[in-house]
Amino acid sequence: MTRTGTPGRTFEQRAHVLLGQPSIGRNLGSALDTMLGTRAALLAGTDLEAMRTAGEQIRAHTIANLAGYLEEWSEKAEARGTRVFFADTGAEAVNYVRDVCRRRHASLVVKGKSMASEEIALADALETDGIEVLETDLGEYIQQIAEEPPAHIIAPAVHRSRGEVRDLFNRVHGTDLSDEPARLTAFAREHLRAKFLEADVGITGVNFAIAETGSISIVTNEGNGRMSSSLPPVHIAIMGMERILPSFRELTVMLPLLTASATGQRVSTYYNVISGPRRPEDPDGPEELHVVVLDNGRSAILPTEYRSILHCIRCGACQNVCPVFRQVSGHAYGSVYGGPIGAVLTPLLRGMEEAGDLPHASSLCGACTDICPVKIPLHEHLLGLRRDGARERAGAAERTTFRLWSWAWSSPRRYRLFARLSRLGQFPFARGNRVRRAPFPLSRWTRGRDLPTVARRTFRERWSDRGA
Amino acid sequence: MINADRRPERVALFVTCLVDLLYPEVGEATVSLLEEAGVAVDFPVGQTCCGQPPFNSGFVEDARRMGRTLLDAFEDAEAVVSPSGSCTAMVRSHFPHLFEGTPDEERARGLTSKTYELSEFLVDVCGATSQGSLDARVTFHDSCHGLRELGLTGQGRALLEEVDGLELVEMARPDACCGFGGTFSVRLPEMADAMADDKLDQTAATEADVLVAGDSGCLMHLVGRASRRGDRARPVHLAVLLAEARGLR
Amino acid sequence: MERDAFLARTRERLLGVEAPPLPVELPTTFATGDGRLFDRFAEELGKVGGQALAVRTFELADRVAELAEGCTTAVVAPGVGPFLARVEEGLRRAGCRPVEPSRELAEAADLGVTGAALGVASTGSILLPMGPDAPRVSSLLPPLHVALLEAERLVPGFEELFAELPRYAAERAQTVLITGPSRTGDIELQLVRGVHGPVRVVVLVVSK
Repeated sequence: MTRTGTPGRTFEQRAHVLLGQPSIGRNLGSALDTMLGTRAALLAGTDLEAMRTAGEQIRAHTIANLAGYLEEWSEKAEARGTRVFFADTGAEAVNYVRDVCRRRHASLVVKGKSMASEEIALADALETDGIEVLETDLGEYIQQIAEEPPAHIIAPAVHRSRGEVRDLFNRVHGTDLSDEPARLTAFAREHLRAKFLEADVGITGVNFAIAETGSISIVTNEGNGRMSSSLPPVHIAIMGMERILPSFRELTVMLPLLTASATGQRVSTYYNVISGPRRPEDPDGPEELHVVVLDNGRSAILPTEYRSILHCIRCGACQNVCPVFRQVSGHAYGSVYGGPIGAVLTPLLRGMEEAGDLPHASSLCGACTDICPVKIPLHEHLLGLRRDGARERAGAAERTTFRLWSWAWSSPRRYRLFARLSRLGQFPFARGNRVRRAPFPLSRWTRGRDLPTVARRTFRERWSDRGA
Repeated sequence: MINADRRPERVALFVTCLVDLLYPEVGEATVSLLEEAGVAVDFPVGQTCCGQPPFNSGFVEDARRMGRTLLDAFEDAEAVVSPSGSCTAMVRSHFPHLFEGTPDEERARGLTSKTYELSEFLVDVCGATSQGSLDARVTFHDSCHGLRELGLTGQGRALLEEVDGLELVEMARPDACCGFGGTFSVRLPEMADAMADDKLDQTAATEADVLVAGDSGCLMHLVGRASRRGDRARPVHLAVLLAEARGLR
Repeated sequence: MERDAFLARTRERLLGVEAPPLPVELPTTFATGDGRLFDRFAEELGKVGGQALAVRTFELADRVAELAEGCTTAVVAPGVGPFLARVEEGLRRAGCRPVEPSRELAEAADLGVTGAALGVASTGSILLPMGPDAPRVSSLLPPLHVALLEAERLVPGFEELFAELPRYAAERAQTVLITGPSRTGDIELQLVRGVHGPVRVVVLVVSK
């Protein structure tokens, strides 16, 4: 099932479609408020600032020493029988997984939530090979049968009401379920159960790899991560190359930072630490464990000013607090990663040609930087990308406009002249002290809002009037 | 930084381009409030704009060109006060980086250490108290840059609370961005409108007569949208409301 | 890409990057507070919909019998160790038959009984290292999971947990920290308990 994103080549076009569906903003708004409230309640009484500072230091230290930790981790992982594959590109990663599935004659794959796997469109590729791929995280499952990409990093179907989910299940499965979340969940549990037991391959993501023991670890609440990594004979984990920590000691801070920021929990229901395939003495567990370490544009970010974006632990808090995301969900960003993290990461991974409008899909309010548990200066990165864009890709019209504007306003005399000319120029457009329809580019303002007119006497004119 | 122990006798007014050109009454109210607080006000005429519009669009050289007028205008001032959180934040948070490695580096740093937003100056430096009286139900919008870049956590509300007869009610999310974001409001107008609608809906739910904010950008955006929607609450700058309450003109 | 090439390129791209040190002191996240570890453990586990019962060894069979009431078959992990006899007795009294921890039998079983290596008071969590003493299916497939934890294996919080975890992680293919029954909020953020993992979790904290 290929998932169709919202139509539109630009953020503005996609947002236009989504803003035209008021239920999205409504559902999202209340869901995000709940998530923020739960997080705030949990963190009240903790020293959040100390946790964030420690989190920032831990991630900065790790990324700065990334090669060393990846080396240590992969040596220890391989010593325990894990097969580690380093993938330069998404295509390389996909082909490796396809080869494993082919060799194992896999016909059914169960998948836990993995943003990295969606980034490389893994499920699509396996499906073209004739393999049935089933999303098992409830939110991802809903989105899969709706044939839509996830709308949020942590809660993929957060933009849907219970009624929409009911209608979806009933339509796809021919059932007559009520809209009670418990009922819908029970149906999903039953439906996916058999699949877990029959699946040939389980694919998951990785929340944190631990260099100290060559382990990977997965954070889930539903149990699908445990199912996918325990029942099928083959477990493949897709891991962004930056998702690593030096040792378990750092988890003292990193795990609660993640769970508190993502779902307002002290800890997730399951924290699953996997150090290799089953040992000879184990009664169950997968025969094969593969970890695909994915670059796909990440290492190119390391030498840049944006390196700290790789500190991200994918908690989704920035999405929860973003006033732009709240109106439209992740679907407006045309990428697996939406919201502030997506507006920075997507152009860095895919290039400014393709995603250069995303850094402008923000009012720079700074709420994301404020909430990030590892203190990534997200809004600074957005500004930095805008600078890069202005240098490399700005159109002549935009460049000239700012050039003229700054020339005019670099001298008080020219600035005063500008004021007088504006007062004259606005005359045909002014209705009383308002402008209802302005010429381009201010027409983009007056589509939805009135503009004030330039004051009859500006402040500085009044000041000089008063003879001070 | 200056603090309450060393209140300056004179300050230079950084009026901002929006106030100068579109909302001069905000500038006048600012001057009145400062003079009432016992501080004399100068207005160096060389100032034009802090350079935020080109800066936020990534055009740094253009931002420097505009911002330099402030470096020139305020070079000799002991303190600079502005009725705008975002313009003050532009100076305090971004000027050091903007002018780093240029001949203006030192002046930029100097300006950073002596520029204040109006409400923080009145409360933290002047220790302003009684604010007159006004019979109104008022709700407050925390402008983003003031809140997050300057750390203005309570000065605006503290001043409002000192007004006799004024009832301050909180909207559901006072710190949510109104959608102005400078050029954002023109680049993504539909999104900016949706965000303004959110803010105005929250305001309407409080049944406030007045929506107060410390930034003219936010106010221009909200007034413009409210005008189309027919909202009852009038968006007003904090300085104008306080001056009204004090009977100053 | 070959590992060495991948790592070399990563190293090259980090040339000249200063690495800050790891923090020496880590902040305590959730304090355990005063009071008995068991009380704290039971409170936290209760908050997430699980249940903790303080049990003396001599009454273990009774407790198990109560919990196993109405159950036809149960998967018992060998890791219950010293408590095995009492567990089996309790099951017998409830008319519940222990079965092999095969996938099919575990899927059909009503109850899974396991040990636990560690309990964490600040979160109500138990640590389960998987292996011959703990087949994975025993704490995963049956809808009711009963875990036996020795009282002296309760630790205050994450600091202690993550100090011990490396040992298990190094030995076992899989080690799971379990905190209450499985759950989701994916539909309108309404909390639903019992998704893919167990619907009900009971921890028997056993002391002499």
